[in-house]
Order: sequence, then C-alpha cells, then structure tokens
Amino acid sequence: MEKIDFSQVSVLVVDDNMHMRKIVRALLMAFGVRQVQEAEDGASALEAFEQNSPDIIITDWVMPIIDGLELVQMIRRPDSSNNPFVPIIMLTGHAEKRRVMQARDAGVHEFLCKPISARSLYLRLYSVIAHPRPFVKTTTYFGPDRRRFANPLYKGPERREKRALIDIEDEQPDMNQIDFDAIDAGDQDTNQIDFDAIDAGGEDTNQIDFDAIDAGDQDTNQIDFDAIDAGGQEEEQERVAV
Amino acid sequence: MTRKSPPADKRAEEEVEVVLPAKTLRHVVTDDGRKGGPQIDMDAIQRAEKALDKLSVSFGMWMGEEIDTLRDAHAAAVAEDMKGEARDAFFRAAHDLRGEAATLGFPLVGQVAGSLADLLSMLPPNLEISPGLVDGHIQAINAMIREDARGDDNKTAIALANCLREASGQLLEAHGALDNDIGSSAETDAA
Repeated sequence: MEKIDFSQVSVLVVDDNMHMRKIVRALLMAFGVRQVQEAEDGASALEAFEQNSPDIIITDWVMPIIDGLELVQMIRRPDSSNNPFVPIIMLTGHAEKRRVMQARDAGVHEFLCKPISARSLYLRLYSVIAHPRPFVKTTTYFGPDRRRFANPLYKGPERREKRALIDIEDEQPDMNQIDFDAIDAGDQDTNQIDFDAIDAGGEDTNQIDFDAIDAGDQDTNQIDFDAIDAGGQEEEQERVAV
Repeated sequence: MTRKSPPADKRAEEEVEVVLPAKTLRHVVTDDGRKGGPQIDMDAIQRAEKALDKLSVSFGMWMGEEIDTLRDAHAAAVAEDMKGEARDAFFRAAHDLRGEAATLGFPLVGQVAGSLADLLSMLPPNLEISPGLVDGHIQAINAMIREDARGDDNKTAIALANCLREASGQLLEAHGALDNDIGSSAETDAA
C-alpha cells in the first residue's frame, strides 16, 4: 500500500491574502509538509520560485500587478523557466467555466475553487504527486496533458501521431510513468477527448466535477494505478500521446 | 531520446511534442509492502481538519479585518469615482472576501461579496455603477457581521443575499456582461 510522504515535499503558497496563506499553510503542515514558503504576489512568487525551486506551487488568481494566471504563464516557459514542469494548483474564488478553461490553457495541473477544505486540497496534492502527467508542447500550449480521460466514443481524427515526439532527457523514464512505447506498439486507436472541438461549442466534458469528487469516496479523476500494478493493461487506463 | 513525425491530419498543422518530465514527485510515495496503489490518507485529512478547527478561534477577528479592508477599499474607490487602481483594489477586497468568507464561517457574506465582485469586474470600467447598489452590498455585509449571521441558514441574510444577487444579475444582463456560468459561481459561493 502506498502513501505520500509529504515531509519531503516543498510547497510555495502564493496569495495576496494573509489569512488565506495561513489557512493553506496550516492544512499543508497538518498533511506533513515541512517546507512551506509564502509569497504575497506574483512578483515575489517568481523570485521565490527561481531561488528555491519548490516542488509544488499553490497560487491564487487575483493578485495585484502579476496575477496568478500571468505567474503560471511565466513559469510555463520551457526556454526560460528553471522548472517549467512544476505542478501548479490554482486556488481561486473564481468558479466560472471560462476561468477554469483559461487556467487549464495556461498550464495549471489542478483547479481548486474556494472555499477550501482539507479534503479538496489533499485530493489536488494527491493528484499531482501520485499521478504525474506528461507534458504537451505545441506552438500555442505548454503544460500538463489536458486529456485526462480516454473517450471511447470519440470518432474524429487524431491530432497526435502514434509516434509522438518524446523527450526523455538524460534520465531513464520513471517506471511509474505511462509507457509510450507500449502504447505505440498497440494496435488500437487511443481516442482522446478533443478539447478543441469542445471549446468550439460542444459540451465541456473536460471539466472535472470536483464537487462530485469531493462528495464521493472515490477519486474518479485519477488513473487506476491499482489495476495497472495488478497487471492490467495500461491501454485500458489513461491514453496519451497518440 | 526524441522522435518526430508529421501531423496526423490537415487540421493538425502544428507539431505536438509530448515530454516526460525528468523529475516527478513519485519518489515521495512510500510503499509499506502491502498490495495496492497510492491511498488517500484519511488520517492526514482529519489532522488538517483539526488544524483548521484550531485556527477557527481567530476566524471572527480575521473576518473583522477583511471587512475593514473592504470598507477602506470602498471609501478609496468612491473618492476616485470608482476608477483606476482604487476600483481594482476594491474588487480584489470583495473577491478575497468571496473566497474566504465561507471558510471563516460566513458563507452568505461570501455570496454578497461575490455579487459585488462580479459587478466590479464584469461591467465595463467606464460604466458608472449605481452607488446605491454598491452601498447596498456593503451595508448588507455590515449587517450580516453585526448580526453574526454565520452559517447558511439565516433567513434574513439569505433573502438579502438573493435580492442583491438578482439586482446585480439584472444590471450585468442589461449591459451584456452576465457570465453564462455566473450561476455556478453563485452556487459555489453559497455552498
């Protein structure tokens, strides 16, 4: 059975509201996080990010001068950021769909609406730690793979080639990562949700029903690693990069 | 290792690159030897809920500070004819209250603050917002704090919040500024 050892995780909390920073800090420390750094605006967050390379960033949206969205966009610059892959959780009072889409398209990993709860924050942290997602780079987007779910009903063309460009850098891939070679070798079309089509006016099936997740026992947003570990076929799980 | 290939179809003119980050946080996932994948640690969640409960002794004072900030920001914005940075700061104060009030035990205050924040952010900056409507929001928040309207079951506070939300919605709609998803925001505020 696996558990998350939060004592090894460092978190940067960015919020212009001191009380909200205190609340988030208290929750994180109760989870076991020992290194919590705070920043009260986007500019000081960037400085803290460059100096301390936190493992996770939790940021508010509405802040003076550099807001949370701009902060995410600055961090998700693969050519200039010192860690463009850092998991980012957007914690905001905004709950409108267009805001969620904006945050997603800027490259946030998770979106968490205030009011905050211990459970909702834990689930977002759990998601970014236990289920790391590959990143996608196009001319218009750099960020975590926005396709969380395989859509078995999708019949349209595939924008991603079966031979996706993969940069594994210098290290061996994490064995817990999705095995692209195995997926490439498969003969099935791994249909994905087409977010562009959705954005163009279809139903927003990309929205995660966080309320339902929070209310329920199951984290329906996640890959079923239990099944994978038990020897199940990964192709039945999340599909990526094809 | 890098592999490239041409796009799959005409729609996909741009090249799509999938990158596996070299560093993930999977190393902080510990295994106790028993079968099963990562588990949600309910003990950690309960510890955090207790920590929040301990912190709650300060919530009344924090709420007072937030209300003071909102009042000051309102006064400054009025002095600047609801324009420029003063208006932005007023919006931020209302928006902060929208996000924080429910956690501090005053969800209906959060709902009214959210209605005010929507007025300040969604209407065109050059449009004069009725001072009466803005004042109505501030007075409602003051009254809720004065009456210690915690929780979400104070009937007068609910009626007040709904009335203001409706008035704001009508104004936003009249100026084509009503967000189609504003209902979700309101529901979240009220939750």
